[in-house]
Amino acid sequence: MKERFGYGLIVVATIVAFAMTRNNLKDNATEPGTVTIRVAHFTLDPQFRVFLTKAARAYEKRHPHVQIRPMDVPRQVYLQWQRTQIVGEMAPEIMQFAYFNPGVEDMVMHHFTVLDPWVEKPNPYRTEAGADLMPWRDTFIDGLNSRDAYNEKLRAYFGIPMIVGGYRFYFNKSMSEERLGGQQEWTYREFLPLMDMLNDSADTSGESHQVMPVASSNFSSYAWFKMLFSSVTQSLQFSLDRNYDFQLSGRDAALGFLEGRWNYHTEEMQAALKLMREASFLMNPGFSQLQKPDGIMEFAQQRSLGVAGGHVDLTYLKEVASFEIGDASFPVPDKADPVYGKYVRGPLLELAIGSSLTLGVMRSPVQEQAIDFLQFLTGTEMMAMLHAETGWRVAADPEFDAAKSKLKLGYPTNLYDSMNGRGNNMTYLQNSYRLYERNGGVEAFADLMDAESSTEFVGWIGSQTTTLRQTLRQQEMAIMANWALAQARGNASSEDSLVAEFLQVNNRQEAEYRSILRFMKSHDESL
Amino acid sequence: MAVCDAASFYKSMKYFFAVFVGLVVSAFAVQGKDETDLSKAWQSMAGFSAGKAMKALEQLPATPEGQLALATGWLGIYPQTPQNVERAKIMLKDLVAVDERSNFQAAALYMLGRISHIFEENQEEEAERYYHQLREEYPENQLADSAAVKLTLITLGRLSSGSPNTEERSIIDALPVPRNRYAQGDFYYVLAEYYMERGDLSAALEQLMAVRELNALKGRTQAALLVQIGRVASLLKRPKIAIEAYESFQQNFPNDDRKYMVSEELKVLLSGGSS
Repeated sequence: MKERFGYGLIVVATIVAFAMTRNNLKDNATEPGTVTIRVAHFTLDPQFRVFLTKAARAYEKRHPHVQIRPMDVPRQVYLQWQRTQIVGEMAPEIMQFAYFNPGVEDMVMHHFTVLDPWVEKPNPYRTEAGADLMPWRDTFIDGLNSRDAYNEKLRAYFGIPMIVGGYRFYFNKSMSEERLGGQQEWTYREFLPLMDMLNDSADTSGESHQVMPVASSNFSSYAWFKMLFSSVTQSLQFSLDRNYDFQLSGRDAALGFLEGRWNYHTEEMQAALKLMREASFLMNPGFSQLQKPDGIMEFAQQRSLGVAGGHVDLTYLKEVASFEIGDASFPVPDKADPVYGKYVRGPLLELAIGSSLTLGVMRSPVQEQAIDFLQFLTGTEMMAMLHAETGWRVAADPEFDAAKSKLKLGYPTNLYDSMNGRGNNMTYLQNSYRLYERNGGVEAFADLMDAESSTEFVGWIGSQTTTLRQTLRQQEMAIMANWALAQARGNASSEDSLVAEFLQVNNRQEAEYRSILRFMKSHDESL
Repeated sequence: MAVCDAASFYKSMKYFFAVFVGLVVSAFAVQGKDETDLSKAWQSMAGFSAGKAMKALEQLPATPEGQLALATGWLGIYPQTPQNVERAKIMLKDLVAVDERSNFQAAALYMLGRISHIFEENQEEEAERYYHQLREEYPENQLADSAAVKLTLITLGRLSSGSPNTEERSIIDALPVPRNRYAQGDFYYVLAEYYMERGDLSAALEQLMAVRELNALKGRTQAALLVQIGRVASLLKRPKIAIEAYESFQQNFPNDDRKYMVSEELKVLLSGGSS
């Protein structure tokens, strides 16, 4: 009996295996002449995946000879996977990329399609009045100016973004109504006593505070610290701006540190560090060791009033939380703050227009079809669907008006990254615990940072010059090719505008490169 | 002795004519194909695909343009190696050595300058020689104008650190100004950055204003230029210039991230103060 049952099981298993194989084959088989476009991405939010699948089906309906296959790859393995696919020459036709991942810029330049010829022409899937005359590029809120979409060094478009970014402070509205009188916006000074207000002072159990004002995680604390730091260092935006364009880069900060324009004992820096240390007591100890999902769980389980996050996080937060969620500006000091007010010049910029979730097209025989799909995704109908499915702010919206947005305009929030997260990032990461630990503090941390940052800054500037030089070399081929194509078009005049634009980027970057070399030479001589 | 009658002669001539026409047509066809392949190769290189371009170029006969394209391809192959740079250099030198003048020879001089200037180490003097030769022999060429900017960079690199002295100022004043407005814009901008670096804001403002007058910038570079003029003029207590530049920025770049900072500066200036 047992033997018969065993044979039966083998037969059933074989039949099931055959059936599954057949179904799989049917699903993946394509009719002759069918073009398959695979779209690989690491944005695994269920709402985005639903959107992409719906968009794929809608596109296939319009273009029966095309099959779109979304491929979801976890962020943790994405970069490795992407490289393997490219090296193995089996890369999907469309891939998400982000320059914050190391080495991506180089990879994009050598394997992705330059989108310039398409972005200058209208997107056939936009239906607003006048869209037939508007270049695809101009339908984007930021004019395709994000670092991922437009490679400034190479003066070429490589990516198409889906959404625009920005951070918010999300809070538990019900908790606020129950314990805080329904308050929905806080200055830093108003936020400080929340630890007591949120917790029942009559509780004599001896346990530590049950509800923290801010959820504890590295991501949430980073977003809040970034705002706190930038709120009191606004004047440095002016004093460190080497070329007076109101844009402070990591390079400005590094060179400024090396020539003694600032250090971790500078008054504004001390204020920022003091503020961060104070704020750290409004989160659980060890917050910087906890991951983003830990903070979200803490918030969802109502163990904290709020959590800081990107605007894209709201969709997920709504899913996991059983209460109503409000969103507010970050609790940062204002001009009236008795301690920090003298360092505040104005509000912080909340309307960070920089776009993200960028998709690029691999060079392949079907690249035109892949680009057409990207045009479809950023068309009027699909952008509306993306917003409806996810609640995210979409990247392409020709009618966007910054003045009408509820988000604040103000001073930039990138100082935290420029001064701690670029040229001396390792030093900062290795020492930041000293700022928050019980026996540490502002002085201990500042002393270490001042002593150790120089070496890392010098090394970083060295690598920056190497990269700049490499970029300049890479530009030469494109300059010459565009010059030759201009000749072939019969434009032998000495003013071909496209060639001039390439030369302009090249000349400006070379000026910057030579300027850094001069700086480092005199810095070395002064030591 | 074979006698060639009129009919067979006519028949032979017909074949000869047909073969001749065939040859001419195929010659044109081949030429057309070469031109197409060359154009495709340039287009690939414009899209940073040196490997694809090289495949198309390998089959083509050696013409000055083909030689230039091949040398450009060698420079563009990733990763760049000294051997490939050397190959490119040899080809470009051959192109420069021929007597026949052409725009491709001008481009070869420019590329030789770039190789010495940015691909090789410590060869600035050689780069300078190529740039000068290009400017002397092909003054009308767009690349000769860019060579003037590169010569400016070399000259500025040789000046001492600190604010430029009288002698250095006369060296700067003697620098050749490019002919076309785009390169002129680059030239003035390079000088503006140099003066800003040396803390001479007055001289920097003069150069920034010169860039603006050329009206050769657009988009983000134009936005940055207006902010720079506004900021430097404001620091120099020249409110009229600053206000005009900031207002132009506000009007033309309403979605720029710097809008708030500029409006705050503008408020102070309009109220008669200075930042």
